Amino acid sequence: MQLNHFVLFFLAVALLGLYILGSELVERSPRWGRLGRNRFSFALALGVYATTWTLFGSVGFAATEGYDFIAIYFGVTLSCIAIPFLWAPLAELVDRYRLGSIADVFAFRYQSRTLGAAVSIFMVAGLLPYIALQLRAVADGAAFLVGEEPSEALGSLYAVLLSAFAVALGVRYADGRAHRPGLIATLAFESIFKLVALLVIGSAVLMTVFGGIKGLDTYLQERPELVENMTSPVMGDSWISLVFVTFCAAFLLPRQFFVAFVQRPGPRSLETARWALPLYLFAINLPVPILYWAGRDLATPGIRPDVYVLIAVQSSPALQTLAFLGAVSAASAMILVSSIALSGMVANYLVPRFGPSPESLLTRWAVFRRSTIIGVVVAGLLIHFALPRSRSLVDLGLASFVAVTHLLPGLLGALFWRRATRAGVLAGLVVGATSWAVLTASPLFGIEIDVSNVFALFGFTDPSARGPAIWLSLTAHGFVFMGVSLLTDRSPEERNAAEACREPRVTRLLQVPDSAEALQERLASYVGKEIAVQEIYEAAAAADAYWPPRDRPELLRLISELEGRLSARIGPLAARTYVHGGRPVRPNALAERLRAFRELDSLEADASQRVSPAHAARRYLSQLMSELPVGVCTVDDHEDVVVWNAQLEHISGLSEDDICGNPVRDIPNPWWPLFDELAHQPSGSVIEREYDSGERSIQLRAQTAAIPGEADEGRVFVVEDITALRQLERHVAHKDRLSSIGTLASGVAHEVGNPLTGILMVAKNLAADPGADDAAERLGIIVDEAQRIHGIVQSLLTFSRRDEAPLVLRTISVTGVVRTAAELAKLETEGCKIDLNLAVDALAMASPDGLTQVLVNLLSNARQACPSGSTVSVRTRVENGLIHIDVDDEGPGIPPELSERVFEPFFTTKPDGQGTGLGLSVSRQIVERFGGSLTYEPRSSGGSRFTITLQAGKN
Amino acid sequence: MNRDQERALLLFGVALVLIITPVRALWLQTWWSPFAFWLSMIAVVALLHRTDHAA
Repeated sequence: MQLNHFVLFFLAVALLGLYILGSELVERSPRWGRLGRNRFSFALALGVYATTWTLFGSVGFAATEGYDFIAIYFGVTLSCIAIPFLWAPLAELVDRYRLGSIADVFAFRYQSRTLGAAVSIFMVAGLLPYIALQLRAVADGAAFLVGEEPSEALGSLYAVLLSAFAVALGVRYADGRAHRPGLIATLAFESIFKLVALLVIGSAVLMTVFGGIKGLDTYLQERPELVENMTSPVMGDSWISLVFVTFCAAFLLPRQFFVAFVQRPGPRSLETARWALPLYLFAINLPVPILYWAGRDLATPGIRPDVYVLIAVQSSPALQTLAFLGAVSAASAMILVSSIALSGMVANYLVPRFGPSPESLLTRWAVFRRSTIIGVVVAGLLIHFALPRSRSLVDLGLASFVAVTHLLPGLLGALFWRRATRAGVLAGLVVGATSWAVLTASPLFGIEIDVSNVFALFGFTDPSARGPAIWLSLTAHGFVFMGVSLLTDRSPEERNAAEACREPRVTRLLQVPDSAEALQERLASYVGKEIAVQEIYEAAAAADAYWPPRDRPELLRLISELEGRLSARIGPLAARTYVHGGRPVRPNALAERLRAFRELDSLEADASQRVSPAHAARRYLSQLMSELPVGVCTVDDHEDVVVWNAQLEHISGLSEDDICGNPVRDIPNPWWPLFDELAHQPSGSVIEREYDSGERSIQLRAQTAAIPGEADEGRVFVVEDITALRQLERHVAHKDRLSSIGTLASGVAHEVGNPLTGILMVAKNLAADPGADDAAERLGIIVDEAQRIHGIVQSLLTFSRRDEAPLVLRTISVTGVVRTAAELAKLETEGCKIDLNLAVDALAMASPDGLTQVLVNLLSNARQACPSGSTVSVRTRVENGLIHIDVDDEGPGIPPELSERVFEPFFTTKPDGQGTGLGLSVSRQIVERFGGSLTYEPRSSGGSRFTITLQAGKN
Repeated sequence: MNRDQERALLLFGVALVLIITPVRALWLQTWWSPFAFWLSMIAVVALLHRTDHAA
């Protein structure tokens, strides 16, 4: 089948249309929306790094420079290893001040719009060759497939298509700083598509051309020079330079920065990207050498290696089409994200202001974004036309990579060197941009400037090699940056920003408003009262602060939130000025921008309310869930967290943004074990746990239930803070013990009084006759009697002590506890005798103090109930692995109509003033906390039986 | 610098030596050995990530 332009263009349109539909689905559907918040989706979205360069250019690169092509990805792998100490501080800075681009970082740290503008201009200029690369790859691929020479018309046609795609999706994400799951999911899907395309093509070529891995091995053994040609360039000079520039490009390219830092779903996403992004790049590069060797054998002389991928599958139009669509997909994603990122920089730093127009601000804003995106693509197209056809895709891509490398000195200064000044960065950037233009960009257009003498001064003998140009320009940049920084002073604003980049919320050098009114007046002076009030109210709500703030910490929290919100819309510099005072640049334009965003917000809100009653109901339920006074977490059937409500945020200290969309196993310690256990418990299970947050100890009760549905719909976990409840229970139990001691008081007096009388008499006799022969014997009597008193007092103290600590269960001897309780109960003078019938080795899980209290309560009640001369018996037995303690009396029993109420608090059958009605209620509560039960049953022979049932303990 | 950052820095240093110094000749012996080296590097990072997370 012969491919033609119509079929290819139609398929390209269909593919990009699918991406747009997918993006809409993810944005609108909560179920699909989770895809855009998943950390693996995020890692895949970072695969936007792999463009048509990877699809077509890598094979061409391998043809000319062997395994040097892997350097482009080894640099990224190294960069990913550096995530914890290089990307993470940058991510924190971007999050803290809601910066939207690398230009924002420079402008914020060095407090200079000029610097922001310089970075923006350099990035736009530096990225144009890369955009040209995408257009060239797609247009050349299409031309090759239909057997024509590449033409300008074809390039223009695909430029229009890719612009339309970027405009259609890009304008939706006008506020580039907001995390958009639709964008992340689209990029993730696009990454999967191009990976699958290359793997399918690579596998097909491996099987059909080489006959499998063994065949490939034999093929290479017969041609050792091919392996030598692949490996030897790696030991050459270019390798290190390539690794270095791609190390920087991995996070400094505008599209990489935008995805990695601005669109990051949560703080933990980068941790996954550390290994997932290199693994993705590894997988997508596996077929490259195979495609090169196959293309090399099949290509006719004069064919450029950049189209070897298409030649390798020339026998299959279907696979050729797949390769072409992979390239379209990669190019569209690159142009989409790059144009969003670049248009944000242009909007913030290069546009003087919106001109007067009768149209609404929002309309003008949308038109502006569309124009910028189209402008970027058109500029890339012009570069594509202007560049000689002999330039390979890699040449174009590397030119852009070298450009972003010049952002590294200023960025490292922002993160780690407080002494860096704006003058130093600007001077360094001018030197870097100039050297890039002379040494890297000009040769692309065939303008060769002879700098071999300069290279020779530094020992570089081959001026055409990549390394010298990169190292010389970067060294010059670095020296100028550091030298000028050391020679110039920082302004107070720069010093403050330098501190703010290292320490959160440093505001000591700024004019922080003294009061809420001052803050409102200051903001109103820039943007008008109406917008100022709205912005401040929304910031207060987001910061969980009252308006007006109750104290200075709350005011500072509100100011920080307000600054972050404004920064997201009008840039960090203007936000600082609006909040902290100063002379704003372009105040009218910025105020207009702010109003435009508010208009956009209100339109989006209106649109969302118009969607459907179901949507409104969902919003209502979502709001309800968020405001519930108990912690609620729901997980889906894949055990990904879907809901993490506000109360759970309060209890755990973990924000919804960090948790939602991630698997349960990613919930940080110490919370992960609780939710993991709940996830694997049967529905209805209840777990109690105690957590020490450092400042206080909290006790939680957590329950789990399956979400009903046709299939496994996930589970809901309800987490309740029961710290106050438990404290109240302990307080009531203590009161009950004191009450018991009151009833024992007369017995105590009797038990203590008898030995005390004996001690007194013996001591008097000894005093009268100190030299008596039996003095030692009499002293022994005194000691014995005193020890008896000591034992009684100790028992009472132990029994009555206030138990502040949470209940701790352990294995105890039931026999010992029953004996102690019986001794205490016997202190009560009145009542019948106690008969113990105890099983040997009865060990149970309980707290000895708690169980003693329960038994004293039961024995005291029994002794009061039974007639004089009768017996209260206590019997322990072991049945079915449970320990039972029966307390039987021979009293009148409890009337059947009241037997259900005996465990109710404040219910008593005793005369007024003789009982609190708490004893049995507290006793049941204590036993239930042991995991046991306390029950009542009438005895057949008359009287009552209370049975304590406990879990058996372990030896 | 926390423990995670220290470990990452150490791994970065080791990887840097293996990638940019002449030692790289070690993983250039066969046509597939660069990929084997690359994959083992990713595996170490993943393992480190898993250990950090478990800790």
